[in-house]
Amino acid sequence: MAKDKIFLNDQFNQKVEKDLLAHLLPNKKVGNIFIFVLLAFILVGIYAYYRQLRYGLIVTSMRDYTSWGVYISNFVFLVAISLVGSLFSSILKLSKATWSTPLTRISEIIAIAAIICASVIIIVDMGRPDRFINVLIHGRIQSPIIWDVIIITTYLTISVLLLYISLIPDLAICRDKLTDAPGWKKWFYKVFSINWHGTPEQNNILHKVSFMLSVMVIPVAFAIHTVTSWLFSTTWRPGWDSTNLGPYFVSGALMAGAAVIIVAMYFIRNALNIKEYLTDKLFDHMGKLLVLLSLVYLYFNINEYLGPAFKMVGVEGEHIIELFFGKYASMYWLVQVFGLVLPIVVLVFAWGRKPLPMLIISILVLLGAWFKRFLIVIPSLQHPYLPIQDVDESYRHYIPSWEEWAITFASFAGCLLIITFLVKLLPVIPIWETKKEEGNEPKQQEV
Amino acid sequence: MKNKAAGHRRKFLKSSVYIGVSAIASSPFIQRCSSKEPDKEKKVKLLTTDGTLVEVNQSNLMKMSHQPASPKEARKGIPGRHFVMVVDLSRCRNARKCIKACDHHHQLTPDRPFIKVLRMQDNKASSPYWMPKKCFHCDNPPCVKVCPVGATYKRSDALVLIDNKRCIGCRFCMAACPYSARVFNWGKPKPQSTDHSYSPETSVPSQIGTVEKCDFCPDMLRQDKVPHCITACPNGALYFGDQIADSVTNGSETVRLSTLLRDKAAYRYHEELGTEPNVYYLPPSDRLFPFKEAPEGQPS
Amino acid sequence: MKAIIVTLIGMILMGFSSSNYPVGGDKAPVRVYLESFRNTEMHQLSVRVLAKTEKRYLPAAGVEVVLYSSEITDSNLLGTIVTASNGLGTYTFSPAQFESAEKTKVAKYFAVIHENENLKGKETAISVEDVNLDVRFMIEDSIKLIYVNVSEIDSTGNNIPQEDVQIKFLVERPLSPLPVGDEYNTTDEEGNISMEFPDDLPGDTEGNLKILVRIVENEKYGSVEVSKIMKWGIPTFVSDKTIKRSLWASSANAPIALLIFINALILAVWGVIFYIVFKLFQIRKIGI
Repeated sequence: MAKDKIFLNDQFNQKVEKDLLAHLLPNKKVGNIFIFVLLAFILVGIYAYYRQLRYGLIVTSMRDYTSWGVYISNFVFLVAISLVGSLFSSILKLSKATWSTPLTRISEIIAIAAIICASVIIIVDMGRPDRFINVLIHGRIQSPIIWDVIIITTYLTISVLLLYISLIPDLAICRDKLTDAPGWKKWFYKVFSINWHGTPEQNNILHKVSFMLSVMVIPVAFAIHTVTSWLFSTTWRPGWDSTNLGPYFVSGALMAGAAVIIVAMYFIRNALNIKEYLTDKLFDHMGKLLVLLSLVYLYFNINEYLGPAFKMVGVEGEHIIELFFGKYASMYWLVQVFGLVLPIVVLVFAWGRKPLPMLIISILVLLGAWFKRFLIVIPSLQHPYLPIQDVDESYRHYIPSWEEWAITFASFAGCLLIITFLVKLLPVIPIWETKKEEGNEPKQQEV
Repeated sequence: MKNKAAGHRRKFLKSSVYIGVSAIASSPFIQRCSSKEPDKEKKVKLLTTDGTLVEVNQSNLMKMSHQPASPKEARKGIPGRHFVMVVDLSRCRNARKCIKACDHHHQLTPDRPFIKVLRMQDNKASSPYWMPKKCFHCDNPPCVKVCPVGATYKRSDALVLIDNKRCIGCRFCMAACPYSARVFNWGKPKPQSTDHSYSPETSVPSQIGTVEKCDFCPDMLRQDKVPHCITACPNGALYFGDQIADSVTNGSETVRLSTLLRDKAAYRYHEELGTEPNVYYLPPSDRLFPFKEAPEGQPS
Repeated sequence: MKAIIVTLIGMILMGFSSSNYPVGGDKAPVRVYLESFRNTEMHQLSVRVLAKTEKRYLPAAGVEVVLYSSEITDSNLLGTIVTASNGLGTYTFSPAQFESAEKTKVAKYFAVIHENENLKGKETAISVEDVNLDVRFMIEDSIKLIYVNVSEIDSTGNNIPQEDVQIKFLVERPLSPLPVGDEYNTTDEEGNISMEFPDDLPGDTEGNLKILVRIVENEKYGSVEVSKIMKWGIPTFVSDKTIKRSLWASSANAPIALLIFINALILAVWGVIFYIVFKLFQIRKIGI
C-alpha cells in the first residue's frame, strides 16, 4: 500500500513538473503577438513622454488648480494593485488558507510589475525628472514624498525577495529538468537556484527566512498604501482632509488586488492550458474572498462620504455635491454601483463565482478602482478654499490629453509586459509546493 | 592666508561694478551715495555707454549691485525683520494695477499672474467685494512642510521663497497650499530679459517644470523699498511693513501695524487652518468705492 | 556692515525712456516741481516732472533736468539729472557744496528743462532760507518729551522765533519713517512746540530708536530734518524660528521624534532584508 502511494506520488509529481514547466519552453508562438501589441502601446507612450520632455507638462491637461491628474491617480491605482503580493504571500499564507498556494507566484509577479510601473509613472509626473537626484541630495525627511520614496524602494525590494525565495526550489527544478531551454535561460536557472538541492539544512533556512519575510511584508505593504494616502491627507484640501484615508486606501487596494488575480488566473489558465491547477474551485474561493474584501471597502466608503455629506461644510460640501449630483456624478455612481455594489450582489451567489462571470465582475471592479482614484484626486483639487477665478476657462476642467492617456496605457502595457516576461521565465504555479502538498494526497486533485 | 585675502578682494571687485553715465563727461554731474563715506577725490577711468573714455572723481560714482543674492544667500532672511502685508478691502476697486506692476517686474505673462483679485461674497445678504490675493507667506507654511527637496523654504524674515533651480516639479506644494497661491511653469516660460543670474529673490528667469509664486519682492526689500504692487495701487489699499518694527506703509502713509490691525478689526483668511498667514485683511466696510462687477473680457 | 546699494539713476533710465508723450505733432507741455531737503548730514534737491499726455499730466520718465544755484549761468551749474519712471529725480550736493551752501542765508535754485522734439521747455525756481531747528530730548517724570524751537538768525545775529511752522515727528523704520504724535503740530509765538513721545514703540535689540524731527515742505525753508538716536524704544528680541526643529524647517532641522521614528523603522526593516540576503548566501554555500 505504502509502496503504491509512493509510486502514485512519483507519477503525480512527474506530471506536475511536466505540466507546469511546459510554458517555459520556447513553443508558444501565440504570445508573441500579444507582446508585439504591448510593445506598440509602450512605443506610443514613449513618444508621448518624449513630447512631454520637449514641451513640458503643457502637453497634459493639468494646469494650476488641477495640478495633479491621471498620472497621480494611476500611480495610486498601481500602488494599490501591488498590495496583492502581500495579500497572498503573507495574509493568506499565515492564516493557513492552503487553497491560495497556486496563486502566490502570480500575485508576487503582479506586485513587482505594478510597483515598478508605479515608480516609473511618478517620475513621469515630475516637472523636472532630470533633477531626481535632488531627492537624494536635498531630501527632507519631513516630506511625505520622501516617506513614499523610502517605502516604495523598501516594498519593491521585499517583493522581489518574496518572489525569489519561494522560487529557489522551483529554479532548481528548472535547472535540473529544462535541459532543452535556451542557453541564457539555463544560465539564469543555474545561477539563481544558488546550489539548491533541498537538503534539510537548506530547507530549514528557507522556511525560516520565508516566514520572516511573510511577517514583515504585512506592515510594509500597509505602510506603502497608507503613506500614499498621506500624500493626500497631509495637504490642506477639503476632499482629502480625512483620517479615514489610510484604511480606505488599503481596503480598496486589497479588493482591487483580488480582482486583478482573478483576471490573471483566467487568462493564464487558458493561455498556458493549466486548468487542472487553477481550478473552478479556486475561482469559487477567490469569489468569496472578493466579496469579503468588497464589504470591507464598502464599509470604509460609507465612512468616507457619510460624515462630510451629513454636515455639508463649506467647500467640502460643494465637493460632495459635485460628486453626488454635479459633473462627476455619472462617473461616481457608475463606479460605486458597478465597481462595488454589483460585485457584492453577484458574487454571493454560487453561479456568480464561475470563471466567466467572475472575470466580468473583476474587470468591472478594476475599472471602478481606476476611476475611483481619478475621483479621489481630481475633484478635490477643483474645490480649493478660495474660489477659482481670474484664470482661463481651461483651468476649471480636466479632461486628460492624448499624451496622458498614451502614457497611462503604456504603463498598463509595461505592467503586462513585465508579467508576461516573468511568466515565460518562471514557473507560474509553485511546483515544489504543489508537489509537496498535493503529492501527499493526490486524490484531492480529482475533485 | 595672503592668497586667500587677495582672492577675496578680487571677488569683491568683480561683484561690484562701477557705472558711469555719458552725462558725466559733459557736465559736473555729481551724485553721492552716502555722506558718511570719506570723500577721496580719486580719479577713475570709465567707459561711458556711448563708448567714450572719461575720467571722473570716484566720489561721483556709486556701486551698483551687479548680482542679487545667490540661492545660498537668499535662504537667509534680512536680519531682524518680519515682513507683513495688510490689505484694506474697503479700498480695493479691482483696478488691477498691482497685478500689472507684478507681472511687469517678474516678467510674467498675463495668463499666469502671481496676484489674483478675487470677487468674494461672504453670504447672500452682504455685498460682494474685491480681494487682492498674493502669497500669504505663512508662519506655518503647508507648502514648505511638504516639499521633498527644500526647494521652497521659510526665511527668518518670514518670507517663503522658491529656489527654482532645486525644484523637481512634483507640485506637492501646489496641492498643499490652501490659498492656491502657487503657479507652475507648465510649458517653456516666455523669454525674459535679465542681466543677472538667477536668484530666488527675483524669481527671474523662470524655469520650465518648476513652481513659482508671489515672493514679496525681496530684491526691493534689500534696498529698503516696498514691493512693486504696494506702490502701484492707486487707492493705497495695500500696506507693507515690518511686524517687529510695528510699522506698515502703503507708499504714501506709514502707520503703526498694531494700531491698524486692532482698530480696523483685521482678519486673516482661514485662520482655522492654522497656517498663520502674514497677510492681514481689513474688512470691506465703509468702502471708498461702491462694488462694481468686473468689465467684460476680464478673466473671472 | 550695512550694505546700502544705490544705483545711479541716469543709468537705470536708459531702459525706461519710453515715449509717454505724443510722437511727432505737438510738443507736450511739462510741469516741474523742485524741492529741497536738508539734514545735518546732507542737502538734496528733488525734482518731479509731469508731462501732458492726451488730457492728463502724468509722471515723465527720462527727462533731463538741469539744475543751477543762484542764477542760470554756466558757472552756477550744479548738474543734470534724469527722471526715473515715476517722474522723480534727486540731486545730492557734494560735501564741498554742502558746506558752502550753509553759509548763505537765502539760497536760490533753478531747474531747467530744455525744449526738445517731444517736450516744451520749462523753468522753475525755489528759494531756501536758512533756519535754526533746535531739538531737545528730555525725560520728565518718566515721560519722554521732545522740545522743538524754530528760529531765524537775523543780520545782527539775534534769534527770531518763528511762529506757525509745521513740525513732524517721525521714527525711522524699515521701508519708511513712521509719524508719531499728532498729525499737525505748529510752533507757538515763541517758536516752540513739544510732544510726548510714545512709550510703546519697539526699538532695536537695545531699545534704540532714530527720532526724526522735520519741517516738511515749508514755503521758506523747504524740508529740514534733525535726527537723533535715543534709547526710547522697547528692546525687541528677535527669535529666528527657522533654526528651530519643525516640520517646515530645513532637512537639517527635522524634529527629533520624526528622525528617530523613521530611522528606527528603516534600520529594522532593512536589517531584516540584509539578514535574509545573508541567509541566501548561506544556502548557496551549503549547496556547493
